[in-house]
Amino acid sequence: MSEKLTPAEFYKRYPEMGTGAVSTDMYWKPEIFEKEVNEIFRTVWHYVGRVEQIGDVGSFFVKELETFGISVLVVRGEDQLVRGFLNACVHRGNKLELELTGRKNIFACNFHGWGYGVDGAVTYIPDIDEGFPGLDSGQLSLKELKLDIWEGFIFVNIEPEPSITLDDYLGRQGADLRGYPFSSGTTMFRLGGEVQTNWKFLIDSFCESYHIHFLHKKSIDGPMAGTDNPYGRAVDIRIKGNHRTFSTRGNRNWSPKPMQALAAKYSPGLSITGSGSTPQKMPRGVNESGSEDWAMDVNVFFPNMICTIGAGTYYIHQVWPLAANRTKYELTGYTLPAKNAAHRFGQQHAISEIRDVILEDLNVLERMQKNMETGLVDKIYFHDHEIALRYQHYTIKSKLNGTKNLVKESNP
Amino acid sequence: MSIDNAGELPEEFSELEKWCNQWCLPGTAARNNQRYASSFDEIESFYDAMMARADEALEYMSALQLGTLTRKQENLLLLLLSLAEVGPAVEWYGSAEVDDGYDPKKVPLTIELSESEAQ
Repeated sequence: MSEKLTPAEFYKRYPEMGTGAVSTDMYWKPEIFEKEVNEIFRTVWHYVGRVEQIGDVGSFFVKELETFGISVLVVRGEDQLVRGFLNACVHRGNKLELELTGRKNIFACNFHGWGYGVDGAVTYIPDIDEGFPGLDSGQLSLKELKLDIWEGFIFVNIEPEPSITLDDYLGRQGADLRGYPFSSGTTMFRLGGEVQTNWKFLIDSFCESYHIHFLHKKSIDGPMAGTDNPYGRAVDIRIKGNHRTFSTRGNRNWSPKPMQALAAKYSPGLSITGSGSTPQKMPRGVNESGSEDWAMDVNVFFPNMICTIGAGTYYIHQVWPLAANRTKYELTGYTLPAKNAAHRFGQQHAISEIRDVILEDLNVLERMQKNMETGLVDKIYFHDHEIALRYQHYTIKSKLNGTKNLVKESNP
Repeated sequence: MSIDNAGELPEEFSELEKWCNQWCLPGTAARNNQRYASSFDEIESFYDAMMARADEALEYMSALQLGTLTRKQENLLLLLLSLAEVGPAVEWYGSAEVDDGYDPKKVPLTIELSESEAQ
């Protein structure tokens, strides 16, 4: 038997947010967008990659922080430390590393050949003695960005002196997920592209399941909503500082289709439709309310990163605002390495399904955006189980207006 | 990965060889392109033929380590990966394309696993 549906009473747990319709300016007005970028995005920590991507000395990857046009070069040094540099040659500012990933002892600029070691220090300047009189190359190195690591996730902060540490930024959301076996995952895929919508609509898309029975009627309605839960009630929604977690409910009475059943048989736990209880001992923040009907947690790291944790996979969604109505969306899936060739089929099956579900999501977001831009949709409404969306609206409004965020963290 | 030897499968699966030219494709993008370029009838025929042997094929694959596959075994795996690609078309949509779906070319895969190398 399934548990009773969670009542639509989150407004009682979080009364500070109110219950009425909300204004829509923040979804389309360019001047609000500029404030969001400068006052919110510039100050927070941004996830750039996993430590497993650069296991060896000289291993590197390049990550584009597209909101700011900043390219970051992340390298493991000889002292094993991971460092993040502005990917710009100090000579005249050319982009230094053009490969997305690899392993090098020397990073050489393709413009005039200036070379850098894995610790960022300048190691070679062509014609230095005569060409740069008085220059002390020993003092020169790539511009280093503030970098810190949480559970193998590498974050950078683009401010010279960040106003908050990574630990404080992650807060209870980070603390409660500490211990999840993130490091046993391998990168299964990344997909991404530019979507013509406001960044907040992309985040919202993953923070409610009220839409599942309708927009995803043919795909994930069965496993994630179904006749027992036709309106896609969550099992729980928790506020943690500026962050929030939305726990989705699975449908234990769902019967997989033939190929889904084969994927589950030969690579259990991989599919996004393979809902079920937690497979091993999990940290407090996973299925925190202990529901037997739990399917997955959507952990939002305010403002622009989501870590979705399911039975056998985890996913990182990142959105990079480009304009009030344009956003770069990126989804990376991580999974356990395949033990045999049949598991590879299960991985591909998970990729096909999640990609197709994402394709179902995106048209709606562009259509909403177009309607917002008419200026005629002056308010919108949130279902009680869309309270994670209301909280995003509330948090941003508080930050931009300089008013205090009064919502108290959940403490189940 | 070469597809020069498409048409070759392990002997016990030789009845599936007729699908190799169309569906032994390296890369998710190539398989997705093939799905979108096919009629639903073609997709369903491929799905039905593969599903008739998929349990045995996966049983066979579960005994093999990635990174050790012969070319014939790789071809069989590629067919199974194409089956994974067309699964939602048959089991969800009844159409090659996602219902009211965004263009998959606008959100392409930028990182993906090798088909057959060890992980």
